[in-house]
Amino acid sequence: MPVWQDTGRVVLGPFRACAAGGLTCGLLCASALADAVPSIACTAVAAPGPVYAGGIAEPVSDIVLTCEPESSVTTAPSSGLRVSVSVSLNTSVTNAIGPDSDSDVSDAVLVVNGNDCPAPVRSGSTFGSCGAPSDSVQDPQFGRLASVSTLEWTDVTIPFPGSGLGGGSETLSTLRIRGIRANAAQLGLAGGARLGLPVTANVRVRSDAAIVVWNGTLRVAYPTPELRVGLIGDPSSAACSGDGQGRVSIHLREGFASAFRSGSPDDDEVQSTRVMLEFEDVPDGIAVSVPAAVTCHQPRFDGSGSEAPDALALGLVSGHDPDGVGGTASLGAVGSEPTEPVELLSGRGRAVYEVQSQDSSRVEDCHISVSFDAGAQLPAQAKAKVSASLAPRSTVLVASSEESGPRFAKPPRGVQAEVDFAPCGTTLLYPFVTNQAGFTTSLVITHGSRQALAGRIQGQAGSCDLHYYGADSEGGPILLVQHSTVIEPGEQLVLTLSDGDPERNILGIEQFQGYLMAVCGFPEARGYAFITDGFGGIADLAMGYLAPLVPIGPNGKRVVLGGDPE
Amino acid sequence: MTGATSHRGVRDVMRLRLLCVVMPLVSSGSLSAQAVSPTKSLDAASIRCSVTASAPVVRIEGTRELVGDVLLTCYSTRPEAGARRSEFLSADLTLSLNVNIGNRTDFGRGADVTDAVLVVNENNCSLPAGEGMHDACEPENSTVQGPMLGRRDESQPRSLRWSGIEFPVPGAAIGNASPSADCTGSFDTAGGCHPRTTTLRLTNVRARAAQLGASGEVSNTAVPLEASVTLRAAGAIIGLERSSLRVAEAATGMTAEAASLDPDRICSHRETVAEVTITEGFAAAFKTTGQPDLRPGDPGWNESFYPIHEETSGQGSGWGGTRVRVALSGIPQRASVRVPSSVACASGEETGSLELGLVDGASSSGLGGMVSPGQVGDRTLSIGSDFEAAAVYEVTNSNALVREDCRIPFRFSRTGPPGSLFRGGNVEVSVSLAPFQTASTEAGTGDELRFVDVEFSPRPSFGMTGCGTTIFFPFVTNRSNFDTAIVVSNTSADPHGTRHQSGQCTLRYHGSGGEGQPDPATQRSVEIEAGSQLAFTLSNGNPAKGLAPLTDFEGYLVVECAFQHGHGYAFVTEQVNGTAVLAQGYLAQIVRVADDVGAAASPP
Repeated sequence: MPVWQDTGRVVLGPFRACAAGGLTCGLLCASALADAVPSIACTAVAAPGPVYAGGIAEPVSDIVLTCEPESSVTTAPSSGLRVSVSVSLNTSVTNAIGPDSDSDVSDAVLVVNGNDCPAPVRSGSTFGSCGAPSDSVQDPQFGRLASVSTLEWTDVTIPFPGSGLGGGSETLSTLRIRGIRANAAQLGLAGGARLGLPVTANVRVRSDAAIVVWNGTLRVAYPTPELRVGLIGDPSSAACSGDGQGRVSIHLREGFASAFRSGSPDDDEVQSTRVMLEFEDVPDGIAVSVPAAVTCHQPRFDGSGSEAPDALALGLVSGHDPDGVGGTASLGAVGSEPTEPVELLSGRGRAVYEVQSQDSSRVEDCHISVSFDAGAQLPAQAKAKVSASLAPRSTVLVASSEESGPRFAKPPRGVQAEVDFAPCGTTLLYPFVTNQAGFTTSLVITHGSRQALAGRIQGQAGSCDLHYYGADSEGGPILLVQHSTVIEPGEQLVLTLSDGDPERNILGIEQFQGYLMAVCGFPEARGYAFITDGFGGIADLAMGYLAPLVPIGPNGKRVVLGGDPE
Repeated sequence: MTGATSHRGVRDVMRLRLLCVVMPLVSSGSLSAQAVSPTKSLDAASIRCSVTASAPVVRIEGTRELVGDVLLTCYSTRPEAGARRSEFLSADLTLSLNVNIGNRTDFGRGADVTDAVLVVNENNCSLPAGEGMHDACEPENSTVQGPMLGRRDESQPRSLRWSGIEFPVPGAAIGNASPSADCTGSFDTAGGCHPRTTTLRLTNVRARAAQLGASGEVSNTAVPLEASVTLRAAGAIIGLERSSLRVAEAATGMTAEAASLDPDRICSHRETVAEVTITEGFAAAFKTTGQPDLRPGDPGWNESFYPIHEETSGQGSGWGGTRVRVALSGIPQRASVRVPSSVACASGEETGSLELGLVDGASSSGLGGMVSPGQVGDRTLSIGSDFEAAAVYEVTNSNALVREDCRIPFRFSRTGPPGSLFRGGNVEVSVSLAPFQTASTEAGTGDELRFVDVEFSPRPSFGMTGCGTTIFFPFVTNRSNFDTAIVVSNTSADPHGTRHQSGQCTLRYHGSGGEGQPDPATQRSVEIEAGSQLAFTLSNGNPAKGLAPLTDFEGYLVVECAFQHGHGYAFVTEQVNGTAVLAQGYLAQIVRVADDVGAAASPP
């Protein structure tokens, strides 16, 4: 097969030679492709695998077209077929494109008859320019972005299958399309689960010749949830126990065996997977800490109850931006204790981990211990949210010259776990108290934690703030707050309005009538009131009542009793 | 093929016959490797076709959903076979879906003519004909017919048919009974040959996807919308690669939630906001205003339509963006509702560009009216006698690449006089893609109605907090030397940051007065401020607080206060000669006022 060297680096194959040969050659070519030329049928196949459902630029399966003549070739054509190949996805193509001068050229590649090289060319029907094995088969060719969801390769020369030309088999020519990236996140559906539709491709080959594509609509990837997240533990029980610190364990599980990937020093193309933990609605005054490194362990299933070290290890990334880009990961097994503070702003913060090592042959789990430290402050009832997703996060949802690597969409709302902070305190309401008109009121607050919650909350002591709302005997308003000393479990605070309880730091108040709220820094406080007209002297009248608890809702606000339905 | 058109095409071909001899030579400068001879005549054409379709995600609530184009690529399997009488075959194509066809038929081309279009060899243009015509497009193409509208039989609501398609025999010489030996460079031109592959594209096919099971149950799976294709032609054997294929995936188009942001604010500030959050079921579910497009649905970012609609006005005009109708029921009395004229939905770190505009003048099904450009501010909704109100929004901007959501604020205000009681309730929300059909919409009518009305299960709702407390004193008396002191505390002043509320209390006495005394009537106090109390005895009342004394009463007392967090206390004493000798007290019960079943006691 003669090959002509162009003035440039492009080596022309026989087809180009024929076209350039002008009229005479044209007639020869036409003659050579007389009516014995059969139709060509190309069968498209792909081997779809799982991809990240939240991934914006997920590599999909190679598409291979195997082309063969519909009937035997009685007269072997002397040149190849000139075709255009297009691949349209049911989502956006997100390959890297550019540079600017050639902004529609992507890094997806079409390879003819396995004639590949590391530096594909931008134009079709280019021969021998990149060191590919065969000079008689066109060089691998970058695809161009024809629309947001379509890649196209034009001016492709295929050795006529069955002609024995161009390195193909006796009867087949193959086109392999590799390196297509798709926006899998765009295929997500409603319903909460981050499971999307399969990525499908429509393959079309256009030519003046009779070429058809069988199985032209095929699946090339299955978006699969990349992460599952759950919580183990109740931060409140620990936070209320006295040291103000509670812990939960965030349970991460990769969605499929190869979801977590660790980078290789030998391959810049492989990025280590990053996992972003996001905290929302963390109550004011609570600090969050995470480990610098996590060596993940799997439970042994041999009945020993012990844990087996897992291949999966994570390192905390410092210096990343809000999208989880950049920074460096902690290396080595520093330990899994939550010692690294998470910066919180308006109750929101994030921690980014990078996969250091993993086993891509099995689905792995990891438990990340998270500390919630209330310090000296008692946490109010609240719900914080924790979500986990892959990083880096991006809003570039189409092919781009600026972002080329794997990137991920912000997970939909609802993919998160909640951290419940139960209140560590109790609020009691005394609807009516008085020490006017010869009456006085005795108040009792009992610390019932030891009895009521034996075995659950141990030794939580706390003080009570007494809030007085009412008026003096002249009708003048009185607003007063008094702070008691610490009341241990099993102890009581006992006072009268008139005399108070100086040992408990509560002073008496004169001529007060109104209501009183006691906010105690321990759970399960109980209250009692006793009203008489002669306390300390000869009492003619007396009555008492149990102080109702003031319920606090999950939003930290007081629950309305009665009234209208919520 | 119409006779006139056919003859014209033949004349054109004859005129160009001379060129047929010359063209292979003239055009040889652009010879390609695909230079082929014309297909020899065929007695019985043998043709095979690959069949492909894109399968976009469509809204399962939709009745006019645009499915993916179906493309048939056909070639002759025996190009060397014997003589042929014509370069065209008269073919009939039928497309059947697993749901009813949703194309429109009311645009002046006949009752059975739909706006689904068949395009031969990509000879596409606007204004397709009901039959294959060569002069449908400008410039006129003498070698291949123009786009053709599909027809629908009433008896076969799931099928479209195209009859008498002028199907170019792949590779056949055009208008030449004895084709020259070479078609090189002369494809698809008079005197040359038809392309070696003939394509038939079915586009603008619409389906009643809702028949696949639209319901209020949000699903994270899609239901395939399948099509089957048959292609027949007299004198030809046509084999299709496959007869059925997937043309769409029907998935939930929208989900909705509702929540009251700060329900207590209606009590303290006399206004509050509830949000109805609508979320796309998939990335391209919310579409912007339709545009004419020869490939409608590609890429499916707007409510695009084949440009046939341009030839008719009114009914044939393009569709507006996707609409969402939000209806509220159970709105409390003495409340007004306002909604924003436009909503910019993305906020903070969120991706997306979803924007909604309020539609003025829409019907109850969300049809009609329009979005006023540039409108700002809030609009007050009209509340019907059944305490219902609705707002219709239209998508004015969206990002088709990402699932977006939008929080639509509904601002409630109290309209009663200050201090009066405001009873809340549970406001139910019905959210539908619009315009939608209702049970009263006759099948086949209302081509502008694009969706079915789906009731979510569970139905979104939010609570409107009642701004009152009902306090029950089971026994009060000032008979037989007894008297009862009553205290009502307004405890909305508290250490938990509860907003202060004030309001009057209405006291309803139930029991008997003394002999000759009228039954005690209802009494109303002055406003009780947060942190203060209403204290009185039955015998003395509390004139400063607006309460008159009662004489010789025994019964029970219900106190309705126009503030939350009210609490009651009663102190019953017996007095002999002015000296109290017995006493007993109790905490009054807080009564939970149910929305529709009366009152039920709840423990304090």
